[in-house]
Amino acid sequence: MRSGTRGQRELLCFVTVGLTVAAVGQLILLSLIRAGWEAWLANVVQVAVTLQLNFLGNRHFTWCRRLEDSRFAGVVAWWRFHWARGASAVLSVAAFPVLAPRLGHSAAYWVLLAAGAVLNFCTDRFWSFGGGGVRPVARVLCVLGVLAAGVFVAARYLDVFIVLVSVFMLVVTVTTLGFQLYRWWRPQPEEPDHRDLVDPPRLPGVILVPMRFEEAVAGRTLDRLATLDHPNYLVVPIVDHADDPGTAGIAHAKAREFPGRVLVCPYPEDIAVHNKPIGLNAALEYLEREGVRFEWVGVADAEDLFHPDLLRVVDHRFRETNAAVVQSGVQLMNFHAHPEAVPRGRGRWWRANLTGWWRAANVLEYFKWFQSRLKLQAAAGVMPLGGNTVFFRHAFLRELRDRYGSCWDGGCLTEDCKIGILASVLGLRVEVIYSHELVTREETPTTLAGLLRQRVRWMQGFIQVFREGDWLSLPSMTQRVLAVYVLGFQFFQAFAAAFAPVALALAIWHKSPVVVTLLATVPLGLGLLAVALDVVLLRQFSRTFGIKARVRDYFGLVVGAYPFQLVLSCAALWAILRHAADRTDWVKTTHAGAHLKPAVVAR
Amino acid sequence: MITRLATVPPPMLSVRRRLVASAREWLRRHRGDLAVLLPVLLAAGLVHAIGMSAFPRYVDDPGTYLSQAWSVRYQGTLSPYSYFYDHAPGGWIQIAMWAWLTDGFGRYDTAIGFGNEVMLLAKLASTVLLYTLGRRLGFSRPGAAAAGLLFALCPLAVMFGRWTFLDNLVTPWLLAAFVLALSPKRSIASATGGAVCFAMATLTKETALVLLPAFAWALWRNTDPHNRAHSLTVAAGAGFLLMAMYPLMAVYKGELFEGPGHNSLLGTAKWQLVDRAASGSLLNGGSVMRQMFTDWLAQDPVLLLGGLVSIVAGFLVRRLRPIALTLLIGWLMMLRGGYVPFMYVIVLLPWSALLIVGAIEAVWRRWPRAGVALAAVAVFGAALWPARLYPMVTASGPQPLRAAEQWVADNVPRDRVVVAHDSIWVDLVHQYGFQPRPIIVHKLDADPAVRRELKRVDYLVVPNWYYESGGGNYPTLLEARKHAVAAARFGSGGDGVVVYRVSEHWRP
Repeated sequence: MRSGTRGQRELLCFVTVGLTVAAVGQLILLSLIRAGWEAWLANVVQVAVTLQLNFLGNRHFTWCRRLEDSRFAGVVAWWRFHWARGASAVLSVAAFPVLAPRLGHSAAYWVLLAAGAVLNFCTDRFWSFGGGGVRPVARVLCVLGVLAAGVFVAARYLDVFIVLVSVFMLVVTVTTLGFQLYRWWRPQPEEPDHRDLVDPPRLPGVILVPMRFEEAVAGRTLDRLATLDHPNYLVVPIVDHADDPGTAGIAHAKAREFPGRVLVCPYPEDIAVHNKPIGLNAALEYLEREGVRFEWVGVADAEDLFHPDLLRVVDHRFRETNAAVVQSGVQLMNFHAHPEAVPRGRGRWWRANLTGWWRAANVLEYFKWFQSRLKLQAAAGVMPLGGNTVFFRHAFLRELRDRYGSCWDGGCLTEDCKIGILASVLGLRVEVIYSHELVTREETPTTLAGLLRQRVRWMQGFIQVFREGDWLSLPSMTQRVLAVYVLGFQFFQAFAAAFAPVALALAIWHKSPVVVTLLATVPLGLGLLAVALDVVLLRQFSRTFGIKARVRDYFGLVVGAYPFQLVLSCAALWAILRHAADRTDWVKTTHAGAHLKPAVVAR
Repeated sequence: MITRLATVPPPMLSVRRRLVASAREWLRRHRGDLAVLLPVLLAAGLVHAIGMSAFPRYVDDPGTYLSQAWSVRYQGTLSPYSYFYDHAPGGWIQIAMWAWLTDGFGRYDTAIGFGNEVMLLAKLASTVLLYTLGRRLGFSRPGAAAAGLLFALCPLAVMFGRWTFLDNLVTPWLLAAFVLALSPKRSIASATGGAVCFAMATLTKETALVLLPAFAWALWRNTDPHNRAHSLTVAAGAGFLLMAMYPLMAVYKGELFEGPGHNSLLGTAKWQLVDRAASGSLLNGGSVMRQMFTDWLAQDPVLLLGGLVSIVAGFLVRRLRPIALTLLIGWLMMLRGGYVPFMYVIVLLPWSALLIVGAIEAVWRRWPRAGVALAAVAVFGAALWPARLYPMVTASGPQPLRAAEQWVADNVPRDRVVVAHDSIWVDLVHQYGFQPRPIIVHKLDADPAVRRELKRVDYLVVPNWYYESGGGNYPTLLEARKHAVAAARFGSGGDGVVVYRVSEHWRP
């Protein structure tokens, strides 16, 4: 019963506040007009003032009892309030021309006013002042509702919508092209040959290798990692003895084979969740407890075969630049699947060749990402890192632990991205090495579904990093804007590439003015240009790495360009919905599947 | 501990401070060039601007383009009549943009005056770009300045540069395209910028497309093996995309192919290339082309023939070759025998200026004495110019059409149907508010929509040459004059204008 009376009180307060503020607003408007203000200016001032009065009235009056026991800061409520009121205003304005001819002008006005009031009450009650306790289902419904409202408004003002979306797509495609060409923007030769480095490496370090159900590749990887060209480093496989005795056995065998070089670190037994950041944090603490002395920490995945000279170059770069992080290139290699790499069964040849379209696109993504975008981002000081072949200064990791409690964020799906952003926030220098010989060679996911899952995880992780808001403490405004762009990039690009033909089709179908149709053509045209550029890059890739690209590879690349963007768009949508639904359990699901389909070994 | 780690250099300075700093740096690096270029610009501007309202006489095209620019600015359509793909619309869209930014049609009492201003700006821009291109081709500062002066002071260039022709807007775009294509930075951005400028040139007047081989050659030669494939792909893609806007516009309007009841891009293109009365070849003594060429030479033989001779030298000097090819293509077009308009000469002039200076500098470097002699010949030839420029800068008195326009504004009620020459059409509509709108004379018989709606004609304000030489194309005009009396006369001869008042009993 108590909640019933509370509800009645809130409703009464809401209506009273609404009416009072409306009356005050009317007075303000009249007096401003009388004082000789321009009508539009008076209206804007009135709206701004009444919105704030409305917020204050409802905050301290209507919903005060709800907010007493809420940890919710006023700022969050303020933002939500403005978003919700703005959206309801836009919807009302958009609906008016639809309703007015049917109901008559004044009836439409009052109906919309009433509907708006109900909508505002609901958003206040359940969202703006609701104390944050929104259930995942409601959040998913909210996302879908916002989408539906967006579609409604867009359909109503299709030409304006096409213009806005085209300009947005134009910005995204032009910056995408510009960023991916950063490496070739001006003629510059390849990086200096690492064989010219004559000074001996000096800094002691460790390489952490999280391993879980990796019996197929663990031995080979550890063999390689234990024999790199560096006098003073440790390889530390992180294995779970209870859960995965097979891999643990291999690791211990290698530790006996390479004493003083390989040191096995146990995954913490008391933690039920298995993921990479927890393992890395545990390994770091274990090493410090054991009294191992090291200056830098490298991270390798279980299938990563580092180039024998890599550590020398990294060591040199650390000493030369005193950087906090050195990221070396990772490169997917198989832009076409060899039939023998595909699981046995009928139609193997077909299955191998029919996957070429997305493999080639995926390979080129890495090619562009590590050569161009990472360098640009390092120069700009906004730097999501890759997950492996990345080396940190020990001092940097200690600083992170002092500030944030742990080095790698165990709750984040893309801890590698987050740690890069944190380095940028601290204003530390990040170096990028991309040399064709030194790159860590990897393979594309075995199936398209695997690629899709991987992307959903990355995108969801980027949403997490964005929501956590560490990027807000980046030193300069330019960097913050760039951070939004970098974190949102996958979403912008997925949308822009997938929507470009749709925008043009809409413009033609709707018989938009010719100028609008021409504008809608430009992003699509630039998309085709990006495909042409991909062909150029595939040729360059095949020459650089000495892997012959066949006509069918180019063909797959061109034909598959649009479907590939559609896959990425699906991943983006899926990631947003998963985030809204609070589902962050990727790590478990992917690893449950991982041992059934062991990753193909990189060569 | 952490303090030992290197930090990123302090995040970029504020945008304003960076701009100021880079502007200062730019000025410091280029002060020598500026010291040479500014006097050249001053001379170019003065010779171009003084007397430009009184000389040369009014011709058809400037009025046409200005009426179309007016239509873009005030009506949002590409032409006050139905657009029939006579030219790509980029040129007058640019004029309309300038009018929109600066209220161009409101600032002048005649549209032609506004057109003259646009041409003055184009001339100044072309001179700056010509100087820059000269420097990028390895000219000395005096050499680049001489190329600029040759172009700016040549009587032929002054005369044709003053008319509001699309070709005068093409010149700066083409020069900018070559300037960027020869950028010493060899970046993707400069190559792309060059291609975009070239595309703008073709959108301004589609005839620029014939120079594509020369531009592509220049671009190709200047790219670096390290980013050649990327540069050329992006440049070609961006340029092609911009150029494609023109045919795409026709596609979206459903006007690409010929068909009954509408204009079409391909239909007009066919007319321009095949059906339009050919001018004949330059080599053919009695051809229209030969007659035009003789007229050009009468204005000034130095730049034109000097350029022709320098083509040979241009092909011998490695870095001048694409420029020589540009001029060669320009000359070959005159031999082909198709239609060539009388302002065609505009396209030859800047490249001639460059090649003459380039050839003299090349000879000078190898045989200084011969170089001096050649330079002396050029200076001697240019000594003829002041005598020709004098009447251009001292001309005064209103043009007959302008006087007639004034008379019509003072004496004709605004609701009369006036058939007017292109040059005064915008003024009658924009300044004097004639409603119904006057009819541009050459639309009277050419535009079916005008024919359909024509109920009466009250006044004819057209230069005399329409009745004399071009009469065959204007039957309605001639018929109307038979039923008209002269109300006022301005000037005499072909350029003179008689304002005819047509009998109210006559119906077209």
